[in-house]
Amino acid sequence: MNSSFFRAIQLIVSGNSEVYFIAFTSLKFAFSSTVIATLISLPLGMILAFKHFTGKAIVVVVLNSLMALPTVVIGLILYSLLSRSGPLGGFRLLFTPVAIVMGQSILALPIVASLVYSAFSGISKELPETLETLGARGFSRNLMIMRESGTAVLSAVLSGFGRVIGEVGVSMMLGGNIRWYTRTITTTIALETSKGEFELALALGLILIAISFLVNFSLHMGMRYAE
Amino acid sequence: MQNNFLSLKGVTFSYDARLSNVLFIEDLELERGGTTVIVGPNGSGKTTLLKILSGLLKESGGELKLYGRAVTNGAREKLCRMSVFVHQNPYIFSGSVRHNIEYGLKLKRLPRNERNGIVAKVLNKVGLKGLEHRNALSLSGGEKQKLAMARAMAVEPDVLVLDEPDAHMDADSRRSIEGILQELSAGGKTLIISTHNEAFAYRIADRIVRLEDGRLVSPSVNILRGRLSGGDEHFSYFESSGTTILCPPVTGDFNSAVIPCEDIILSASGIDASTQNQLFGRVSNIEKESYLFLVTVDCGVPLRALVTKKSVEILEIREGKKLFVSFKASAVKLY
Repeated sequence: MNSSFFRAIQLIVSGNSEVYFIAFTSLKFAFSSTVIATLISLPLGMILAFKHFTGKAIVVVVLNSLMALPTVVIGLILYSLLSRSGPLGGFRLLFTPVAIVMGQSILALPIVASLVYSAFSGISKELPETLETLGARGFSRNLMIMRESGTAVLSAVLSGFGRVIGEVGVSMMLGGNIRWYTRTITTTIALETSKGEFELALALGLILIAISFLVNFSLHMGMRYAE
Repeated sequence: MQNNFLSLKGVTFSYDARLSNVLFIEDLELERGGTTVIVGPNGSGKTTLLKILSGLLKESGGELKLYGRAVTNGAREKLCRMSVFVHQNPYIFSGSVRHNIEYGLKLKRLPRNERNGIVAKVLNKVGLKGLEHRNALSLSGGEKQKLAMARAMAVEPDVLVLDEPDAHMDADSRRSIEGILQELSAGGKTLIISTHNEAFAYRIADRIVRLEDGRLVSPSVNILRGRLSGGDEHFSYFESSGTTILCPPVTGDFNSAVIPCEDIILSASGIDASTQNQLFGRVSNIEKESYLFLVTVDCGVPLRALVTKKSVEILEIREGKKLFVSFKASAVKLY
């Protein structure tokens, strides 16, 4: 095990092209799905926090319960929709990056939306009125609300990113772990470990930890700088 | 009444259709220009009324008119754009003092050099000069209130609506706020202000409206602007538009004399009694005030007396009628 660890370090340091391709693929998928989930969550969270409508409580409860949705269930549902015989089979999306990003977006959405909603509900009710009375409407108003809820919205987005970068169920079932195509850090770790080959798995595990750390660290530094 | 900017008829408001009304305004007319102060205890509906008047809340029932036209959604936007509402506990944006004031100006797309001038001007006015780059969230409660006022003044609204602007202020700050409000009013702005501090209200108000449990209660006081011009061992003399009024012997910096309308006696001839103030003038207006009449007599200063129907008949009160107006020095309160 010890020697596996050193060989893992060696793989990283030597710039092994497959290791870095896999890491890049994982990042690409996680980044795209987090962006998609955030773009849907921000307006959704804003509507939930500031508009009154019937059934709002139900939407919030559903979102909260979906936060615990198992990745394999999303994988299963999308698999049955995207497979050749499924209703969306004609698009031939199964085992493509698009399928993974779709699955991961669905996975991240309830988390980001719930946390964005609670970030906006935590805002004092004077803020929207102050913005309105000073003449802010539409986009500039929403932008200011986001700015004022600052770290809470950022945490929501980071939680979504954390959820998708580390998941294996969706990537495995919808991506198929195809080498140089849909193979991600987590699917590789699962595969290599089951084969008894720990070096690559460990190397990728270390990179995964480093990515999580770096993303969090740089965003928080960015926030501090912005303030 | 001419020059009506806002009029409310039977305006009600409830936060939830299932709940009862928190506000019921039978009839309220607001003129353009001047300072209207809404007084009343906590929970009487002052804030709700102010938010309706500044277009932030939509009334649940009744009719709100802006310059004689019913306020529909488009007009509400217009109302909202012409006024700025300042909360009792204002929301201060995170960032610098300057960022807070500039925000409304950036929305108006003013160029940077113009913004600089306005920021400096309003900060100077509210007494926060030199704090431009301070973190706004580190200001004290009173300073935040002043910042919020500066932020509102910066966008130069026609109407400034302030919810208890004196709430977090010490006596000195309150005086400086009074000065600012008087200056704004003199500059032609319409001010609508709520407070539960009567002295503050009387010092700044052209007109006082009292709210109790969401309903308007006629305050029926005369507010005369002026200053103390002298005094002797018995009285102080309060000078208002050339008319001298005798008051209890007091000293201090007063700018308003307040006389309740029900303490004013109207008579056809002079009366010889303990009423030390006796003026003479012509009736300029008669208004029915539920079962009483509010008679305005112009004696150099307009004075309103609350009288019964019987008195109106006996004295044959009508517009233009000449009458004596008497009231005790002890009925005059100075603020």
